Amino acid sequence: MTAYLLNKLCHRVFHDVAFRDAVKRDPAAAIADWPFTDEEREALLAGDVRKLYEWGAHPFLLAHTTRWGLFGLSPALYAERIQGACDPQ
Amino acid sequence: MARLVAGIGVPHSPHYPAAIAKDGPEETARLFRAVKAHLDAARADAIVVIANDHFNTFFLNNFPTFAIGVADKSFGPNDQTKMPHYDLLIETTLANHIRNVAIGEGFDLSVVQEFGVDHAMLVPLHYLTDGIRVPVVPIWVNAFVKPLPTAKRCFALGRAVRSAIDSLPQDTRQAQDTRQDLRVAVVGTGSFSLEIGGPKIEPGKRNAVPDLAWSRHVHRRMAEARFDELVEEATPERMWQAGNIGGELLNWIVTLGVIGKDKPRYIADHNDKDGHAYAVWRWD
Repeated sequence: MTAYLLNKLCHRVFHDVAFRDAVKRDPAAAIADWPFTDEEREALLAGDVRKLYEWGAHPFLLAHTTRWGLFGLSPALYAERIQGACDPQ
Repeated sequence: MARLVAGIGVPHSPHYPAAIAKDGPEETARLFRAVKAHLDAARADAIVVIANDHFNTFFLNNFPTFAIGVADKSFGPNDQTKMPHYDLLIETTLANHIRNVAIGEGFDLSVVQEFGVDHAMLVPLHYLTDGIRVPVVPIWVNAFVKPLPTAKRCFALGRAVRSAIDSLPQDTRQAQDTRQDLRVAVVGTGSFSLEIGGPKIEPGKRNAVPDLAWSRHVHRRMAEARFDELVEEATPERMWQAGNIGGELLNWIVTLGVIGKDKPRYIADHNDKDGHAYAVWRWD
């Protein structure tokens, strides 16, 4: 259940301020204990929202990342990267 | 006994309260005031509010298709929306009765007994009431976790809610209310076209309104009370084409089910910029 964990992460950064601050400070360390695959972890840390979306991350949750520039994502960069993404099956 | 006195549909954008004062000069403030005047005149004793949760009351570990809040009280916003904090009273007797009637009619509503509510319920109540002192009954509809309930099912849920309102027993009425009927209003809320965080968003922004042609069409269907056609047309594919939040139309369709078949007493012109709709039905 890849998408579930991605969604859980986005949900947590929205509702848990301490966790959000940890992700802001050191994203790799903050998600070190989360059991993502290497590919997922890499995409997250690179802010590759197109991949995350195509894997099933919910766009409403995914977009929370831009509120605080998490994973390097400004709204402009997010909007640029999400263009052309395919809807998950 | 209870009686439906008003049906209302409005948007619920979370950025409104911080940007637009209730008595402000903006078009949005003016439209909310126009709707509020109707709701004030209808003198509702309780408001059934129909909205979708945005992963604030619920998450994917347990996400209901349809749920009802049956508690003494609630609060909000629970999603960091910049607006006043509100403590809410729940019209528990009516909420319980709706739950019972709906389940009897085949709608297995999830029951929620300790909860906060997000902007989707609070933004409309903030603008449409004076401090949300009127008790509410929250009903949640899944509007953006696929697969969505069908429009037909949502309309039928609205019919079941109406049958509950019409059949509230006299002896279960709230004791402090001495009038003949509990006067009930229903408020449904959401966008017809909206994309957040998906591929249809505009460059540099978090969102977009990708399908004004659809929102204009939905608006016309409501103005003409052609609910049957709208329910047929509001397929999952069509709503998705209008944006990944386009399923919020389902909140309105449940509300239309409560309303039944009448034309609105008031409907603001379609907004060609954001596609938002403001509509009022009255029976008092």
